[in-house]
Amino acid sequence: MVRATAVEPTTPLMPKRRQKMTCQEILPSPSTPHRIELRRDSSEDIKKIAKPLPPAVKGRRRLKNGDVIVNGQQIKAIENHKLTEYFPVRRSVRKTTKTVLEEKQRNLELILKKGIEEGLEIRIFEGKGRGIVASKDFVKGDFVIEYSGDLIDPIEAKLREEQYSRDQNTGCYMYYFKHNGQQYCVDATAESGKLGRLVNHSRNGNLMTRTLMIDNKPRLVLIAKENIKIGEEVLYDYGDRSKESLQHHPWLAY
Amino acid sequence: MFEARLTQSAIFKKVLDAIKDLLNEASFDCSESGIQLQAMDNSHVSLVSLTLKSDGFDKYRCDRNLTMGMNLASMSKIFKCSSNDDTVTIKAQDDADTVTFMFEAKKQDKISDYEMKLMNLDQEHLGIPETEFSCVIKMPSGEFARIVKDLSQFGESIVISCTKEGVKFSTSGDIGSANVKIAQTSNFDKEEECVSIDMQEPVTLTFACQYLNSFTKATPLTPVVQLSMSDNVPLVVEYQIPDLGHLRYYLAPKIEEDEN
Repeated sequence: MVRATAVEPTTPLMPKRRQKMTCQEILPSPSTPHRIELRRDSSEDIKKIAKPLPPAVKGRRRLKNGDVIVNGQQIKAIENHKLTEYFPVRRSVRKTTKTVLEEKQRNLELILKKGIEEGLEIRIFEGKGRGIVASKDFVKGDFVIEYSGDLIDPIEAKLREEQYSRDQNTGCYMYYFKHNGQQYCVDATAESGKLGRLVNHSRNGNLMTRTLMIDNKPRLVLIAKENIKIGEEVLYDYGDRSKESLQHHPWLAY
Repeated sequence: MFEARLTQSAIFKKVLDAIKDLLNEASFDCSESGIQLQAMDNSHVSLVSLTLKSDGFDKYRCDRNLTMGMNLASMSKIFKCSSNDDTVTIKAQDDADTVTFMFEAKKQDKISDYEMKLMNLDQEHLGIPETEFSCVIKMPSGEFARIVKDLSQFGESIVISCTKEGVKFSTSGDIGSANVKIAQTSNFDKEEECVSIDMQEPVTLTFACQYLNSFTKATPLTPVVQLSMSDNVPLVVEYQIPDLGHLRYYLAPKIEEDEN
């Protein structure tokens, strides 16, 4: 449509007319002023109209390939190219990987902010007490549950551990982790009704932990390491291999 | 239900002014992440890509993704009815064929509602790959607008060549030629007046003035413009919209045709 923008020394007074001629042979220019479209903005232009066209224009000739010859000098035709030559047209509403990832992240944040826990139920296991079982299928990489509790610093954690150690009935619900070089702890000792704290340990569990920053605070989320079927218990590696812990909790070895 | 609220309707006015030169109508794609618009001009030489993030709005709600085809001239007419510091709320039902713009005046208890018919636009959507550019130039947007305006008096196209020393804008036409060179500056006090060039390889490309001139209609949005160029790929002219997103223009370069 606007292909007529080929660079040729057009007279600024009549751009419109010249454009139309680019596909035909150049006609002798009628220099009658009344046929020329005036530009409103400059009064100077009006004076110029009275003059004959500069001689250079007469020597212009157009070659077949679109090049223009002005006074024997060949000027290359420079054409506007279409963007569609560079970018593919997407007919479907498929999203780029980046947008998919962004949407996933946003969804996850939303779930965490609202504290939604879905597709899981508590089951009592003989010998190890409560555990969490999948009540729907999870696909590898899916978010399963958050390990939610109080986010505290290591100093506070030490104090609380001491307090908890006095009572034999308290389980271990302290999750120590590092994020961006800083040590944190999530304390889920309190019976909060949240399911994340009840997930049992296994050295080859089907979940793995990720840290995620939400509102500038790190959160622990458990992600499916493999496809998980309905009825399977979800497990992850507590990661504690210290002698002391093994003494108290021999199940940590398995 | 879609609802987006912005305390400054002026921003929307400026965005509209910046795109209505190139586009007659456009589809606004609304999703939870914000509003997006991508459209080529009639000649398919340039492309406008607008992103307004949901966080930038004072209130944003989008239950279901929806695409609103709007006539930009009509939209512009509606926004002309608002004052710059009016609060604007854009509302649409999920399956509606109209969109409502509500303007609330700051001082008086005045609320105006404008309902506009939506259009069914069958627009092509382009997949734009993420590219590393050979040259990325940041410069005052006003300066860029001035150069483009000045040079377009002399020729139909502008050659932009970027080297380590600086950027050269040049053109030639019937009356002669024009060159504008700007060098990199290191005025760190005022980032807005700074010219910075991030260059891997020197690039020289030719572009049509007409489109560059239309792009500079976005100048009131922000004091800085960013030009990204690589050999044989479209130029990207980017204007940030403070706190809200960005407006990008893509322009295919003009290329000398081969003899055959």
